[in-house]
Amino acid sequence: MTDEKEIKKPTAQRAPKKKKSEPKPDPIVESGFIPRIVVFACNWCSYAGADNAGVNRMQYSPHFRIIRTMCSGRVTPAFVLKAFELGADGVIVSGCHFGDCHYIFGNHRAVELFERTKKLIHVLGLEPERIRLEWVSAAEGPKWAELINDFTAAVAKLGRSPLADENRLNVLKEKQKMMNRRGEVVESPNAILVDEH
Amino acid sequence: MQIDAIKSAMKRAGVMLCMECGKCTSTCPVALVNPDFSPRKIVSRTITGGGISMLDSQLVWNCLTCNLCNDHCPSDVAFADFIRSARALAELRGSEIPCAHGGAMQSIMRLMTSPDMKQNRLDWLTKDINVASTGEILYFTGCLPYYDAYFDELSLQSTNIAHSTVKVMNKLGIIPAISSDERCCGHDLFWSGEDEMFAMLAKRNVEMIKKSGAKTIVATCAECFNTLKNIYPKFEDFPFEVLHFSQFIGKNQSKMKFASGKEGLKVTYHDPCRLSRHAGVIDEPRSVLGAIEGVEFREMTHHGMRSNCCGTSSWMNCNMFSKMLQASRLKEAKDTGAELLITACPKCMIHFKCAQKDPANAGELSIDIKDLSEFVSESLQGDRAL
Repeated sequence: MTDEKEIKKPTAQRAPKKKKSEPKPDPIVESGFIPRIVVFACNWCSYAGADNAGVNRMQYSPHFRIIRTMCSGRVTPAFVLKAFELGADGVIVSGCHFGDCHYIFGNHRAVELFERTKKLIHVLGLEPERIRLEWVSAAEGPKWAELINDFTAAVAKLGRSPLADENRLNVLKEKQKMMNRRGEVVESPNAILVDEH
Repeated sequence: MQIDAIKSAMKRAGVMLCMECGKCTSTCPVALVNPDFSPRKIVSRTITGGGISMLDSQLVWNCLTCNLCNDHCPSDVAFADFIRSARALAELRGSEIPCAHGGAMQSIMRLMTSPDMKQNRLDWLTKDINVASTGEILYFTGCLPYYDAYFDELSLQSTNIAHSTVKVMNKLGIIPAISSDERCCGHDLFWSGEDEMFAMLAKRNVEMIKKSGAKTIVATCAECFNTLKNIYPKFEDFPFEVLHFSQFIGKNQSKMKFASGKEGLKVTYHDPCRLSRHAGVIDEPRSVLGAIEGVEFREMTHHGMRSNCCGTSSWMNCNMFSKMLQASRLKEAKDTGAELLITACPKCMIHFKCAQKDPANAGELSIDIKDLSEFVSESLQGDRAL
């Protein structure tokens, strides 16, 4: 039912048609424990998939940091271990579906490297649910959102990583502070140590 | 503050006593293959230029800390110790350790400082060997389970070293204490200058040893052995006896009989730097090998205190120079006519095997490589006494 007078008004002065919905409460924030999640996303598919989720204005768990690599095959065990060393609670490695890799066989390499990562995680005593290898294509925004939501919930259930030792993290933070004392303003590469959410 | 730190590092190492004779450089294995590296140059730059510029260069990271220089130095300049202190300072100036394998090994070491971790590191235990959670003798396995997980492509079962050691101990009637709470000894972090991390690891390990009730620790890794014996006492209260596997066998040799199963098996032995020059354990491995029937022992040209480093130290700086050193050492082993090369450090073994895998070296470097514990376990025939 449109009011003739209403239509003739400038847009900014018209009464809003729809009521903005209340933001849903975030169960993770409510629980008090916010997991630190790192996602290694390949540039061509997964990062674009994440972008797709954003473009479609999908609302999903925001408690993660993305690190863009050119290919999922670049993600060696060293990357995943470094994330845990710096206090991560969960790590996702995401790449293109088989046959779609921009570098032909990079995602196959990712599988090989991930197998090695799994073995190392096992010896370290970390729960295997804390790492995940997934394939998300550039059009799969909804899949990306579902992956993040699912993984965040799973990691939140597991709790803080047994390898996230506050003492060690403090030592590393102190060292970073000293390294910046050369008088240069240097962006710390170890951003995960900053607990901003 | 940094100039003072360098000055005190120089004083501790006796760097000012350098006569610039150059014996260090002439004996340095890295200087042999890398034209930019020279211990004499580093010392000279430190003395004349204050050393700050030297800290920021790659030079401090190229040293293998093998101590061949110190062994030959007429002024007994502790060059490896000075390099260690320089590395700690270099890191504070923003230098990063040139880690091999993307830093995976260093991450694993640092992760082991976590107090609440529950490692799954005893998967190598089988039903035919016995261990306990407490005992007089503790077997310090080192990072073998992690090497198994990481170096799957080298077809290397490094936990075989651990398995062999426990088997030998069992045959001697000893059930060693083994802890799943064992941490990395921290050797690599120590030599990279990360003292705070090293101190954290040392603390965890001493707690672990105390819990086991052990008085004696046996290690198969030359680096773990040297670190536990000579470096831990400087950081923690350390009332334990530490033995390398070769020393442990040496003590119990009269109770055992060994035979290699083959007549005239030509064997040579590579002295790890940490065992020979850093810890002085040179005769014991040879006496163990000498006790094995059928072994024809051949000595390499560079042996004992003059043994050449395997080419890579502390999982750092693995490059073409390391490969050249590994190739030359393996060629030296082959030149003795030996069919089997025995090592006493799992890292030396891994580095050699990695060099053998290089297709450019195909065939030229092929020689069987075994750890001392594996060879001893295979050669164990039973008790000689009674």
